[in-house]
Amino acid sequence: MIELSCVTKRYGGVTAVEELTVTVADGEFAVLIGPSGCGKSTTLRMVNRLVPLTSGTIRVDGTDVGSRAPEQLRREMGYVIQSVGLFPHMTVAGNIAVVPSLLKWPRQRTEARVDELLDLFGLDPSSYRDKYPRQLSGGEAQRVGVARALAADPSILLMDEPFGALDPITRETLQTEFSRIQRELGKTIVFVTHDIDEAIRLADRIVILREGRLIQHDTPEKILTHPANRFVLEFIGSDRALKRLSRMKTSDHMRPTASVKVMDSLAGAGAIVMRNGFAWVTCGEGVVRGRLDGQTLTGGAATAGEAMIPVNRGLEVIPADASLREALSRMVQRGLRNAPVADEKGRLVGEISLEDILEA
Amino acid sequence: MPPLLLPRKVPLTASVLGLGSSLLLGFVTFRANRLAAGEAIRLLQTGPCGGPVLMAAWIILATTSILKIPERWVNFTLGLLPGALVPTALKVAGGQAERTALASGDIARVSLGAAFWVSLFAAAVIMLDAWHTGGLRRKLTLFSATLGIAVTVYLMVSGEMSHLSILREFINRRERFTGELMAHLALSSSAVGMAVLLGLPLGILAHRKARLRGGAFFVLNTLQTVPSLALFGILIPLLAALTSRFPVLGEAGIQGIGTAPALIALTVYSLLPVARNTFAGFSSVDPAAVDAGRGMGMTGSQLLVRVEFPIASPIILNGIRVALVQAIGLTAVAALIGAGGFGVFIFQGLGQAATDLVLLGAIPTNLIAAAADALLNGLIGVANPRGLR
Ligand SMILES: Nc1ncnc2c1ncn2[C@@H]1O[C@H](COP(=O)(O)OP(=O)(O)OP(=O)(O)O)[C@@H](O)[C@H]1O
Ligand SMILES: [Mg+2]
Repeated sequence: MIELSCVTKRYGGVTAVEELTVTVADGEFAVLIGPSGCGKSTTLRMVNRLVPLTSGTIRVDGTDVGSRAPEQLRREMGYVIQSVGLFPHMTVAGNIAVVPSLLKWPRQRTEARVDELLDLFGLDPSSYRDKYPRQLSGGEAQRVGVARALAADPSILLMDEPFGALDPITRETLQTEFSRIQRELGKTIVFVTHDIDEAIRLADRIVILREGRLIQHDTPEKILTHPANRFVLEFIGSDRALKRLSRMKTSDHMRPTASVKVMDSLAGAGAIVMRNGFAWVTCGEGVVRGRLDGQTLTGGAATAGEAMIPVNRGLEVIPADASLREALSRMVQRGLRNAPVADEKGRLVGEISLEDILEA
Repeated sequence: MPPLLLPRKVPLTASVLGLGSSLLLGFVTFRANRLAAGEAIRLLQTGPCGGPVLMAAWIILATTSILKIPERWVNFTLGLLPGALVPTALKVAGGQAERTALASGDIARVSLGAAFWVSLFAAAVIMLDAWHTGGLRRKLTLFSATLGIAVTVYLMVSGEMSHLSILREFINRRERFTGELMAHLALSSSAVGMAVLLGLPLGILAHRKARLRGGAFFVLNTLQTVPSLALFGILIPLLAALTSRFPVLGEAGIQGIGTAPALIALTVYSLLPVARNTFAGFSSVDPAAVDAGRGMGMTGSQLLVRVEFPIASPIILNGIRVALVQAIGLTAVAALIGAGGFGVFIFQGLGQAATDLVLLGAIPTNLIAAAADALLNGLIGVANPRGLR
């Protein structure tokens, strides 16, 4: 747990951070966000004592950081910066092994850890271990930067715009990858960004700063639905409703649905269609194949499979783990009022309608 | 019809230079005694067969450089001949000296003449060009140059050349020579050692403290522009005054003339390249790497040893290389204030108008400067971290 209470930092006449009180719970992903120069980096760097406080206290797991030896403290926290700062004269393995070597880990343990981390970040150890930083792409370098911060398995990770220097596609890949890793590791993370989409995508709680002051500290949902003031409103932008949807998973908002099998007789299927207005048609394993509604019943077909309107699996079936924003986008694109929701194997698990999304 | 001529400019120019100088200038100089006026003897006026052989070598080199012939032949000729030419030229000069000694007695002197030096230079140019050409020609050059140097050393040591004036000067001063060699090496290396001890922290400090930077480099730059003789001149009365004021300094061996002022002056000159390159090396370290290192919990000294110094080391070593080459040259001047070293021979020779004595000081000075240069360059190659290349 990280507790900042009444933390102030002044540089001469400039107040970088003013009376900031924020608590980050264990295992929480906290994102610091705000316009340039609002004191995000300063706040982050006060936590690991790279910047001394002017006044106030910062406690980590109940202990005042001011009472700890700075080097000791920093070895227990991962630290990642936008410019990565890999050591150019060391290999990837050497870079990742920096903190373990400061902690004097035995060689075998360090080597095993390096390979484990490279695997975790999707970098094949045998080909990346001995590369030098200048041989890496921006995305690979940043993965190594994050792996390096995780090397000694710190419980706290401080990240200062780690994906800021990457192109949008690489950035999104790394964000997705990193949320997966975070779900596995459950670290306490303080993450600085000025990209609101990144904040909403990753954060458990967002801290919005302006000119060194705390403006709002809340979950992304709350910030999107109840922005504290005009500044927050403007900061999150006019598409905040859509942003909110991007936080929601389709599986949390879908509802159970009626389905018939391809081989079912049209007569039997008809009863279900009459009751629900329509029904999804699935094949043996439950994979969605088509849709039956009142009009399709009137043809001369014998089975549901013959009468159904086929469903485009790639475009009209919503994956259960997709965000509502993505579901909405697909439905608007295909002109659907409701769509089937399927698991990763394509099996029908429910349905979602425009009404469901509007109510979410 | 394919063109008959394909001039290779560098070897062509060099071999024409070698040929022309051998035809027109004196290959060795004859003097009735050590201080008498010299009389130039051209290559073809020397002994029976040496002269024509050397001339033929130059003609072959020149024609190879201009004719369109298979590249293999060119490689063999340009790669092997220059290396063989150097000891041959020395042998020709040595032979002439020996015959002269027999004919005119031991007080007559034969020294190396302009054509010999120009030929040496021209051969070196062809070898350097071959080195840059690379491939087979480079390998052959390396082979012939190594062999050439070995034979040259053998000729010098075996006594075959002992009638040449420069070796006569050497033989007369054999003990002195070793002593001055040691003095020269000791003085220049301890000056650079001092400069490293002072310049490393100074350069690091200049990197860390912006306020110090301007002043420190202004002083060092200014000192660097003071002519060495003037600096020695200033130090003599200064140290003399100091020792008369504090006799304990005198007892410690510090005098107005001799090693002390020379060491101080040489250290001052070496300080700028060392400090400046240390500063440049540390400035070349990405601030993000330093920030990351601190953020991961490195102490100041761990950061210095594990991150900043390894990244800066090639640039720092380059500064030490410059300082060392410069100090070896300046040490020769320091002989003027009684610090010893090869400058002793140079200034004695100048005083006596004995060119060969001057060369006895100047040639080894240049050789050790070149050796120091090569040594440090090798070290830079080894120290340069792979990730930075
Ligand atoms: N070392 C320093 N000396 C003086 N002022 C500083 C120093 N570091 C930061 N500041 C000032 O403190 C304020 C906050 O800086 P900080 O780096 O924390 O901003 P930030 O929110 O991280 O901005 P950005 O998004 O541009 O990185 C700025 O006004 C900055 O100019
Ligand atoms: Mg910042």
